[in-house]
Amino acid sequence: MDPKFQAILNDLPAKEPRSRLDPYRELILEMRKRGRSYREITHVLKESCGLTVGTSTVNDFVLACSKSTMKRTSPAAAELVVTEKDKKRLIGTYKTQKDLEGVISTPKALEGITRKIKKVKDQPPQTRKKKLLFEYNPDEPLRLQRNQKTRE
Amino acid sequence: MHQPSAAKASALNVVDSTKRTDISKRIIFTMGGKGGVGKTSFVLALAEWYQDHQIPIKLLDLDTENKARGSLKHYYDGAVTKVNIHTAAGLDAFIDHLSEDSPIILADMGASSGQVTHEWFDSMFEDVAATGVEFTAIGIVTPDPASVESVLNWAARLQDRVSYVMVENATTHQPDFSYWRDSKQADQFRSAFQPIVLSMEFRLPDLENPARQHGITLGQVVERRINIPELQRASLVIRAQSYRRRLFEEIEKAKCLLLP
Repeated sequence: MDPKFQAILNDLPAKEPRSRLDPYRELILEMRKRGRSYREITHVLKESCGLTVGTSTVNDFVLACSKSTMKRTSPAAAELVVTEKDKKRLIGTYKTQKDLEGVISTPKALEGITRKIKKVKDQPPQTRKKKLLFEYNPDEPLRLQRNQKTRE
Repeated sequence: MHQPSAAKASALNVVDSTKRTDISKRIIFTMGGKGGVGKTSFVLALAEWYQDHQIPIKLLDLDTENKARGSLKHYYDGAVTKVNIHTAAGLDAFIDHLSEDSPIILADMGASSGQVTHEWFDSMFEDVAATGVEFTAIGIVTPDPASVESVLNWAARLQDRVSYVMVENATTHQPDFSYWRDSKQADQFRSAFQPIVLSMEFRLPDLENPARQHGITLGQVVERRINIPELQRASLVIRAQSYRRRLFEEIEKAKCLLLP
């Protein structure tokens, strides 16, 4: 980079974090990796860091982090983002909200679920219709071949 | 012929009586479209053939229309289970009566059982076959073209879900089976499914009529276990014995489709 531009950048004041949770990003993501639920993380943030936030805020923050991680890793991976709609659709698959959170929180899990959804969507509908080996029209009288040959 | 995969079989959880075991099972039924073609007569002979080989079978009489003489129950009263198939799950009797003790079901279908049977096959066959049960359909043809049409109609619905044994029943002394042997449609059926064809020879009315009237099988006439004067004539006893022997010889030709 041009040294002049670099100097300008260095003189800019530090930008305020977009989320109150940004300073705790590493801690939160590590807790998720270790299987902690959003409720537990909220509790830890309150007890150990004095930060009071809602479970849904932590949830949104983790999802946003996952999206940005995927965007950074590969353009193709960016397409594998699970939307809130997908998430709601999947809730029925798991017994509790807690189970659901545990499953879809990591980027790898999100990718897996999205791939499974895509696979099912791409599959042609299963049809049991088999090719008939023998067809018979009951309205048509039996035709004797012997008589036909004689006539010919 | 349809062969269910082992994986599919293990994935299914069907009723206990049909759980796949070392002994496979076979359901043999008559294609009952046309009445009076000799379905019950052949089933009786077949039942005697199993008896002769000491192979246990379960006899089902599904001919609800035929309540009196001529029905399977008339001949084998205590040993036959009468089933009304015209209920929501009538043909589930096939599954419920299969057991380790009698791995073969021999079912005599009624003349009006086509629709029910076809619908049962459409909804149940795949899962029943996956448990290792095999099916043999017996078609009886006579010189009457209607008997041939009836069998072809059934086959068009059953397709290759069953194996076919066809019986040419000589209802007269010199029968003409042209509609079965020479018609284009029957030829197409034979090419598609390669049925085993058996002959059932014409029986003297002197023997057939009183036997039918009293519910007596050929075996009972042969063994003189009856007290009916018109069936005790020495000539009729020997004739019954020769009919039975020749019919057993015919049945032997199809034993691969009659045993599990």
